[in-house]
Amino acid sequence: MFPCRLAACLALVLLAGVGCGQGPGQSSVTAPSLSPPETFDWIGERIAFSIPPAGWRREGETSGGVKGVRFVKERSVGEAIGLGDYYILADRNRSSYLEEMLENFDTYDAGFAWDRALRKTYAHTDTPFTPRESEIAAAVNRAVSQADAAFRNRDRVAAKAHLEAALAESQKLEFSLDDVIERVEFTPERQQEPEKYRLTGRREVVIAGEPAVIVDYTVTVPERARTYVAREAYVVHDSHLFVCTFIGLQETLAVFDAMIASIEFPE
Amino acid sequence: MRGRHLAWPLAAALTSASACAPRDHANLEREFELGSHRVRVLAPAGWELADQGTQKRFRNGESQIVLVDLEPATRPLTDSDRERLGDLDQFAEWGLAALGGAGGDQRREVRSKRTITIDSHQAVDIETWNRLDHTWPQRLLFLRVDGDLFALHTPGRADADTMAAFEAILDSLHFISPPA
Repeated sequence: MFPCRLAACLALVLLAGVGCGQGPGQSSVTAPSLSPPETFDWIGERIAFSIPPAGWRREGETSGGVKGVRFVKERSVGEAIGLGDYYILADRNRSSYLEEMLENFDTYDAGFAWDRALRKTYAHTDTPFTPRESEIAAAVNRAVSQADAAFRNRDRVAAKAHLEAALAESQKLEFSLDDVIERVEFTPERQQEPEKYRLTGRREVVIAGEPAVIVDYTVTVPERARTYVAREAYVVHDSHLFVCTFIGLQETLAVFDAMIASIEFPE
Repeated sequence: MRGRHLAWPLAAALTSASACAPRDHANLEREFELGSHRVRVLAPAGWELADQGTQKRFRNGESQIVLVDLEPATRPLTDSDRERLGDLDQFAEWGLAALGGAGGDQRREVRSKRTITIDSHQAVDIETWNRLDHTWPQRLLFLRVDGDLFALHTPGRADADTMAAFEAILDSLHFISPPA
C-alpha cells in the first residue's frame, strides 16, 4: 500500500496524464492531502484507497446496485463522494457459494441445509450482461440440477462431482469494462428529471492499471439555487465493477480525483 | 495495534491517576464467580459492575463491556466440539458466531486479530467494524481457561473511552482456579 505522499504524487501524475487536451471538467492539479488508505472488501474483491481528510463523515452505501462507502462533507452544501462495488454484477458469479457447498459437503444430510445452500448456487439467467454469460449460466444450472438429482438419489459421489463441474463452469465467467459499462454509465436520460442534468465530458482513462471511464456532468438544484459539479468513474477489476461518484462544488473535486488516483487492488 | 507491553503502562497510569482522585472515581477491585473459576478484576473508574450470573456487565452510561462464560450461552458442547475449540483460531471463529460478530454477520468484518497472553492464558484479541464504511468498532477477546470458554466483549460501539476501559479490564483480569 502506498504512503499518502506517494499517493498524492500518483494523483498528480494521473491528473497530468489524463488532463492533456481532455476538455472541460478537469479539476485543478493541486492534489489535497488525504487520510491514510484503507482496504475495503464489500463483496469479495479488495480495493484500497486514501480517505478524505478530517471533516468528511462516512456512511454505508447500499443503493443503486452498489455496496460501498459514502463520505459526506460536513458543514457544506450536500457534497459527497461514494465508492462501491456494483453487486448486481458481482452476484452473477456463484463460485463462492459453490465453493462453500463443496467445503461443507460432508456435513449435508437429508435436511434443509442442502436445499438452502443449493438454492444460492443457481446462476442468474435474467438480463445477462453478455451472450457468454448466458452460456455459462446454463451450464452452471445444468450441473447444479444434476447435483441435486444425484444427492436425492443418495449418490453423494456424483453429487459432489456435479458441484465441482458447476464450479469449473462458474469460474469461466469474466466481465470486462466494455461488457458492463453501458448498464451503469451516467446519462441524463436515465434520471428522473433529465432536464436538471447536463453532460459535460466523457473520457477513457486508466485507474490502478485497469481501463476506466470517467463521466462529468452538472446538476441543477433549484431549491439550493446553485449548480453542482458531478463526476463518476467506472473501473472493472477481476470482474467486479467499482463505481466512484462525486457531487459537490468545483473546488472539492480535487479530493475525489486524489482518492481515485490512490486506488489500488491488493492481491 | 498496540503491544501488550504498552497496555500495562496504560493500566498502571489509569490506576495511579485514579488513586489520587476522589474515592468514587477510583478503580475498584471486584471478585466474582464465573464458570468454575473465581475472577478478580479492577473495574475502571466510573464503570459499574452488574453481576448477571454467567455474564458480568460493566456499564458506564450507554457504554458496556461484558465478560461472559460462553458455554451456558450456547448449546451444550459435545466432546468433539470441545476438541475442536481447543484450537484457539477455531474457538475465536466459533465465539464470533456465538456473539453475533463478524463470524456469522456479513455486515461486519474482522479489522485485526492477534494472539495475546492474559494472566498466563492464551487469548485471541479481535477488533471488528462495519464492512461497508469501517465505522462502529467493536472489540472481542476469546479466552480459554482450564477448559472454560470466556469472552470479554463490547456489545455496542466501542468508542475511545470504552476501548481504554476494555484494556484496563483486560490487564487486571486474574483467574483463580478451583481447588483440585
